[in-house]
Amino acid sequence: MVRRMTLRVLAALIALTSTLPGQESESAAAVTAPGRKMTLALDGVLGGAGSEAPAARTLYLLVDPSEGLVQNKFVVELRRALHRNRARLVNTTIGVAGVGVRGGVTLQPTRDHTAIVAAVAGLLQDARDDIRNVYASVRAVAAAFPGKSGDREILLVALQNGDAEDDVEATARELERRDVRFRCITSEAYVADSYWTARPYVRKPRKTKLTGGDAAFVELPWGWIMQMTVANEVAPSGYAAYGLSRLARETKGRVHLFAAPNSTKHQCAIYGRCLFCDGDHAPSVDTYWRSRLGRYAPSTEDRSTVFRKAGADPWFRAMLKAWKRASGAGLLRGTPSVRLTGNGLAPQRSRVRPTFSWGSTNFASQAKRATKAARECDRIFSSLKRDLVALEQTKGIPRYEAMAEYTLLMLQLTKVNLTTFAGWCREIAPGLVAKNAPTVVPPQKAPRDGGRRPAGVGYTNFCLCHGVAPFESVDLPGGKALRDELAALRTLTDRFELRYGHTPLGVAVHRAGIAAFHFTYPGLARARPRKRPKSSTDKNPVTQRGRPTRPGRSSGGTGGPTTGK
Amino acid sequence: MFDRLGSLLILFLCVPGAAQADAKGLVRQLGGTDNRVRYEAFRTLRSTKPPAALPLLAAALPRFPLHAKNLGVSVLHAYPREKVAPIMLRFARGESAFLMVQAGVWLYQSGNRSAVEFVVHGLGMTVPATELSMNLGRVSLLRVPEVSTAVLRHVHGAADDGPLQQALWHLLACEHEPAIPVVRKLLAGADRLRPTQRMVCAAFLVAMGEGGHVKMLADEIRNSKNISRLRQFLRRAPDLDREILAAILDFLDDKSGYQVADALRLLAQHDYTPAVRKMRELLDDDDAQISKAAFDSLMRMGSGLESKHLRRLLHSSKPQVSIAAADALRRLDDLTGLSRVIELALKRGPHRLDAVDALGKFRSREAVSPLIERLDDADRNVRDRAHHGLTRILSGLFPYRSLDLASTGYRSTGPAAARKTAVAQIRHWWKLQGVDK
Repeated sequence: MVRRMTLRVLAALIALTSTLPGQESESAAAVTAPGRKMTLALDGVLGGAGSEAPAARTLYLLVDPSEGLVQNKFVVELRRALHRNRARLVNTTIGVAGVGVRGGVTLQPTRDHTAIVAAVAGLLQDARDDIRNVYASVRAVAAAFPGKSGDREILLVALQNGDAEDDVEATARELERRDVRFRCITSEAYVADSYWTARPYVRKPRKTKLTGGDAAFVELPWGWIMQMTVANEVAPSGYAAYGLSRLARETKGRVHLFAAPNSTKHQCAIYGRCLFCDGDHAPSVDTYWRSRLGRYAPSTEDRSTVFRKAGADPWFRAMLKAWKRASGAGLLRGTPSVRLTGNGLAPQRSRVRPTFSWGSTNFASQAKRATKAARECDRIFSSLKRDLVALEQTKGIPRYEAMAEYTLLMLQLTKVNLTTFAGWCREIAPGLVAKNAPTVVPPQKAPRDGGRRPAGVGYTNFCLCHGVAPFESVDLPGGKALRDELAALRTLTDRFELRYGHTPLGVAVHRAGIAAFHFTYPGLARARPRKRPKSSTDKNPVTQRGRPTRPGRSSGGTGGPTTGK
Repeated sequence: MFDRLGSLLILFLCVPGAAQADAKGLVRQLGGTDNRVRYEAFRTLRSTKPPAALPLLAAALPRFPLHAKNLGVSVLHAYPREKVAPIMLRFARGESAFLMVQAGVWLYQSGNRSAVEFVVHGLGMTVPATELSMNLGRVSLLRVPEVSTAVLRHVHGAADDGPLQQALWHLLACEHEPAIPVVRKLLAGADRLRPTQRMVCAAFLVAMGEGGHVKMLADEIRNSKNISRLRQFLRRAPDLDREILAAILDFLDDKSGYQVADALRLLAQHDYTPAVRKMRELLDDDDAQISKAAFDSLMRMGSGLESKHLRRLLHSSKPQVSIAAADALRRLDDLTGLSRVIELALKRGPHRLDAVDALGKFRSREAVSPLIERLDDADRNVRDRAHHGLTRILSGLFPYRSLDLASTGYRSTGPAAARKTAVAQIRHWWKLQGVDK
């Protein structure tokens, strides 16, 4: 009872301190409008803030024709918004332009709302989820504004593609030079997204780079072993892609986020399995708290400033040190995307490195290797913990403080997984391949492998969405060693939840998981298909083009928590 | 030997004749006037699908009364497409508007795009209001512009309530923009319309995102006795004005049954917090339908039922409310309701089924023993739920083991003696696991 009261008081204090002004004026929080509805976003842009019609202005709707806009009936929403705001639009002329459309502008600024809706509908007739350079189109449209009087605004409607950057700073300069305010309607980016870094082979438009994420660079260690997904790659950040927030900041514009109504449904495990519910879980921590979100928001300053500040931040430096050591020990797939220099940080190419290998079926040797890796993980964990304890009284950038603690938690989780794997190799796997299967009492059944020899070991994840506590009653391999590691993970997670629940990193922890191991078997031999079928079938190979579908995206088809409603 | 062969031969020769006679009888009953007999015939025809009934239905359906026609078409839907296609084509070219629309929709959905002509023609024929209402209901989800244009012709001041509602529902589902000025014009002469017409038309415009008729709709809702006809419209509305939501809250005052349940769902969907107090009051309503709707509505609204309210409801005098509260708490990772659910699962009464069902979702070691006890319950449904819940819990608690209750010989539908032995074996296994730790 006393403990619960203490926790409550602590939570209240943390919530209070979270609302104190931090670095928000420099962060994405300052340029991001609340809410996730298209009606709200369109009313905000078309109607302006006040109740009266804004003075003379020219607005260009720059539409990136993606399938998401068609699925979410953007044309209908636009028509309704124009009708709702007709009184406030008496002094506004609206033009239409398309991203990736030859010539850019498809309709010169007009007050004819029917023509505007028709022009947008025309653009969306050929909607495709291609990767396009929206920044080049923004510069082209900025140059196309007629006359010099009145306010000038561009509304970029691009649910994706804010991450395909060619030159954000040149775009910001061009907008400033022509006195154009930049606004956009887009979907949430993921927190410190490493998706594109892990996939450097993806084709992209000329001169662009797929950066991804809400921040200026990939700040978080990514690709932890025995995780089916990179948790921060499926945790919506609450903010737009860095480049879009940056343009809005430089032009005193605004970013409006959009999430499809069906995309905010909770989903415990993006990949893997939830051991504790059938999908009816309703955790309160999924909803982001605006005050906390603002405190841990990414910076919208130019990259060189961000590098300088991150390089000087002691929390970030401690995390970077642990990141380097962990990737060197094979506990992470991704190497750091930055290196320390005398002047802060410098970008470097992040590589995908080979990690701890668990494929072999020599279980005794695998158990030894896993134990050894767990010990190395423990050393890195202890070193980082020492660093963070030493920094407790040091004021740093809150976002990096949270990320350093997240890294500590992921190291502990990796320890749990390595201990589970060692336990599985010792306690379970030998029995599964033994000639004389152990006798079992019904309702337990003897394990079956269909007489096939396993080719290796695979894993899935039991997500941490319900926390660590329920795992204490689950029958997992690893004995006392695992129970101790689980207890330590529970302590860390509870503390993390208290401080960073209702933030993207809190959600990222939920989407990480405890690994569960199983055998993999060689594929069964089948006759090879004919090289050239006589007739076309729906089984013909399809070449992947454009933007891949990513789970957990708030504006897509599947889950993803969002702030506001 | 020869005797047996002879009887088999006679049986073989008689079966088609008997089937023919059966089918004839069933089709005759389907076209009769006794509702109960007609429905029994429909169920038999639909489940057995006798081939002999097909030509009989094809010949008799055009002469059937309207509701029998409707059932007859449903029977045809159960047959293989290739056998029904010629019959549907004949109906589409026939004289009955009802069959023309039904067959046209069926053909269109089977890939015959030109069948839209039949639908449009059928919708244009003059028929009684009930038939028109059914025809419009059949095309409600057919998103074809020609059909929407034909449907729009039925939106006028002289239209009966049923067809008007069906027509507007179709136009809303298809987001048929040309309908907006037509309905707006209709409402411009609102004095000449009946209240129900005004209400449905205003609800249509609001659901289409038009903000001009909010006050009219709110007034009509306050004066109305039936909100259910609006539910499908208002559910689709992107954002309902607070004036309308306030009217729905006022509507609750002197209503009962499903009217209240429907209104509560609408208020919850649009997260109307001023309704929370009323919803909490209705939690104790004597009508189970209302108390359940109030609970679900409060759960749907983020601020409706917090953990402290739910914990209080665990001690409600109504077992169903306690079970629902415990289940809601479980979804919030709060297991304080588990002991109450175990208590209710072990107690006799009509609530036991729900209690066992809720218990099976707890994924906790404490839930296992009570569920094992309920595997041998006198009620088969309770046994089924216990079996299902236990399987689910055990697979979560022992992810590395292969467990199957059937391997003990347990079947929820099996003989009592075998069931008891199996349950004893499961209990023994559970003790071996160092249980309830």
